[in-house]
Amino acid sequence: MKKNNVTALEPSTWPTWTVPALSAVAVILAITFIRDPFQQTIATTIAVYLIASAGFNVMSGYAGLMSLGHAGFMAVGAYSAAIGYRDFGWSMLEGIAFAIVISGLSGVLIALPALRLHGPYLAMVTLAFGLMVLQLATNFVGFTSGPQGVSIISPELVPGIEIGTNGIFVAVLISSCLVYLITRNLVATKWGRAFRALHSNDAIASSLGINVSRTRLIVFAFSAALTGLAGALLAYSFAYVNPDMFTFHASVMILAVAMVGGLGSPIGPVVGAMVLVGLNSGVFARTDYQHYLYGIALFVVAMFAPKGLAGFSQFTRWRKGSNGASSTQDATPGAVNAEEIAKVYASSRLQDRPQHGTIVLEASDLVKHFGHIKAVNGVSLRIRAGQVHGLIGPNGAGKSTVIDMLAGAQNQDSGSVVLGGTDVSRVSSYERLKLGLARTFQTGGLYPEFTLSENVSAGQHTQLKEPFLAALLGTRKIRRRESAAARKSLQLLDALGLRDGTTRKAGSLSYGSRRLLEIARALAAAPDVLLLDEPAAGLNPKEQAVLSTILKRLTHEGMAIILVEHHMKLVAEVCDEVTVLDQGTIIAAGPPTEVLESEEVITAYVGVPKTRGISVNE
Amino acid sequence: MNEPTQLLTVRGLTGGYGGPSVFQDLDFDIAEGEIVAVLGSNGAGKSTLLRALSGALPVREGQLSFRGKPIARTTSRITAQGIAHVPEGRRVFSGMTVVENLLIGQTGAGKRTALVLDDVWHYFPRLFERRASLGGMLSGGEQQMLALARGLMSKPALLMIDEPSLGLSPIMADTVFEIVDRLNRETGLAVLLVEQRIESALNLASRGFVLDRGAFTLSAPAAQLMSNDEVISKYMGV
Repeated sequence: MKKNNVTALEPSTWPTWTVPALSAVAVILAITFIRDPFQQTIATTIAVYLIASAGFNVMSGYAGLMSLGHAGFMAVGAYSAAIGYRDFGWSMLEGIAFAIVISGLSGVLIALPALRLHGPYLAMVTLAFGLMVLQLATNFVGFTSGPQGVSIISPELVPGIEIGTNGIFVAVLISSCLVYLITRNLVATKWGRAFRALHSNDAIASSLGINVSRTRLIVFAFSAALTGLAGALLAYSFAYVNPDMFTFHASVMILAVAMVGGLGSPIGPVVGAMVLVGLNSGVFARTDYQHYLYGIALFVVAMFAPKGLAGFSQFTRWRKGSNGASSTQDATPGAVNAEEIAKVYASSRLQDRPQHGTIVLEASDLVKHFGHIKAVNGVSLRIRAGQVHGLIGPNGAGKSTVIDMLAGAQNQDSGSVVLGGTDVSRVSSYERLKLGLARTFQTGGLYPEFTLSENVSAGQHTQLKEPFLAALLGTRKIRRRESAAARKSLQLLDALGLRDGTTRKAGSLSYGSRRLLEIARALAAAPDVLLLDEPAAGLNPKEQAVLSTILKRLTHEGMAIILVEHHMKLVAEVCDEVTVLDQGTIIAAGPPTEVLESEEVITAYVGVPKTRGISVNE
Repeated sequence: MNEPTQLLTVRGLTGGYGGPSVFQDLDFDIAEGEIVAVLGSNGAGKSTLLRALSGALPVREGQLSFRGKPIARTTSRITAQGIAHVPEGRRVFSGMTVVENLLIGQTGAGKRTALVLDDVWHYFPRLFERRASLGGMLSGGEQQMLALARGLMSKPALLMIDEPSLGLSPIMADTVFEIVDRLNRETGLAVLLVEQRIESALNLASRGFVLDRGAFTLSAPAAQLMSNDEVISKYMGV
């Protein structure tokens, strides 16, 4: 289950202040008209669950890391605030800051052992965490006062100023509004893309320059901090904390709110909290049926609106017949503009280009064994700027393993890789991207739920200077950088003949167009060295000829290209040098004309042209 | 007129995903024992066409009949009627052995008699050698053979093959084409072939269609297509 449910952000024609202004109006209306204490309690609960679910949504919705223990983070936040009050007499602002820090740290604490865990294993770890926190709160009586809990009686907002119940209510509503706005800002930046990238294969994210471990830590910390904030606000609102507030039931509630509202959509927790918590504490509060409510709500959502209520609008639009495509065909091969591609590439290259002909990537004696299978057994390659180096050989010869070792996706057993003068033998893939090496994958290298343009913008991850805090605030600078990135992405897409870049999702592309999109994404990183793993698969001879024009044009700009390919015509046309692998070793190397005619290569790989004469021509 | 008996008859087929139709109003027939190639540029809708025929996508409009009977609407029933689909990119079950993959294919036959493993080994000796290996451990060429063989297990009269040469070395692609050729000659298997190695496809097929902007712009015997100027300039890039 690697489905990324994140709702794509659509280019909005509204001014940027519209949503913040509307949110502010909603908060003011709520403060003005909700006066009755019972209604205030319901509104508080909605706001608190909105925040907690927004935190959950960051981890489970965007990053796809399913958590069953978010009430644990809520408890950490609540107890931090309460104990800060009880033992140090801290004000509400101090307590909240403390709660955010401590719950964020607890997120990191869980993340560290769970860094490599996915799916059900991660869910188990978070479940255990939630239960453990509950046990500590119940049994660690000296510190938490056990089942009787800790009270917070008339706290101060800041030292010296009392806040009062109404003030707390206002603070809770404002906080929920801010949390919605910052998560909404975040999704529209490179951090949002990086979080969503965690949904898929780590190797892909890493190849785009995303430090996967670090991003996961940030996801856990941020998610836990938000949920901890919810806990602290709950503690101030109810003026006490006790373990009963953070049972497994609360974790399920947080999850249900996000699911019903729309997992992976910033507005999801808002809608979910209003609907589910509103019904739960308002309509069903005094009945015995509230437990059934979650069940039914989740069932209905799963059946009829799998993307949640917030995703429902998208779903109905889809039903009416728009999957974001304005035309049937996803690409117009005739529209490819190699000049433009080269121009975009050249303009985004920052460093001085290596001189044509200089060695930019050198692999020496690479060895990789899987058990007793010698996948790669002593392969050396020298790749020069401004040249295309073909890497061919039978299926299973070890080509993809070589590519993986060059890109840093796999570690070699022995041998070395030097990239632009730096020994990168033990350097991870995301750092190699920063040093100028980009790659494509043979299959499944794209983010199918991202739009075409988001996919290409993901390729600009390391170039985009977007500090996390600025991304949360959605500053003007961030927005400018994002729109510049989107423009560049569209330029590349356009030049490659891929249409509907802002609306079409990558998953809807044909096989051949996916290969082109991956090339666009790799080019967006402006690499010195580009590793292409079967880029012509799914392209017909004519489209291959177009690809060959693009590759040649890029080498004029000084790019070095490694081309793994099975189409001999393309290889012969575009490569300056060809290396042939068979069973993990090099059986031939040299200019394509010589290599493709050597007898050994023909028997092992090309095949003797039969009466039908098919091989060499294609 | 002594036309060969029609196996598949398609009239007015319109289909696509959520948005606009990918192809509209297609008419074509496939005769018993015939190999027909579908050509077209990347993204023209060739794979979508196969998906619509195999029931993986709902048909929007059109009459489809197979051996005179209307085609069913779900993939399992269509396979039981005798149309099997070998999807693009092989899609073998990587955690299952070769034999397990094949036996899964057998269930597609429904009430008809399926192939038995021995029939497969006859055409795919390499798979016999690898029969106990997991699908994920096979090379690309072996996986493609397995995908083909799995499709054959339901003993279809029509096999729809999507890009069998995808990611295969030239020599391995030839091997796969040869197997398809032998199956066609020796068992009378009809094939609807989508393939980007156009020359190979036209060598194998007796007829071909060109799919362009959702419609068949050309339909002719393979030899004619091979020397057709439009095909050469638009798709072969010569």
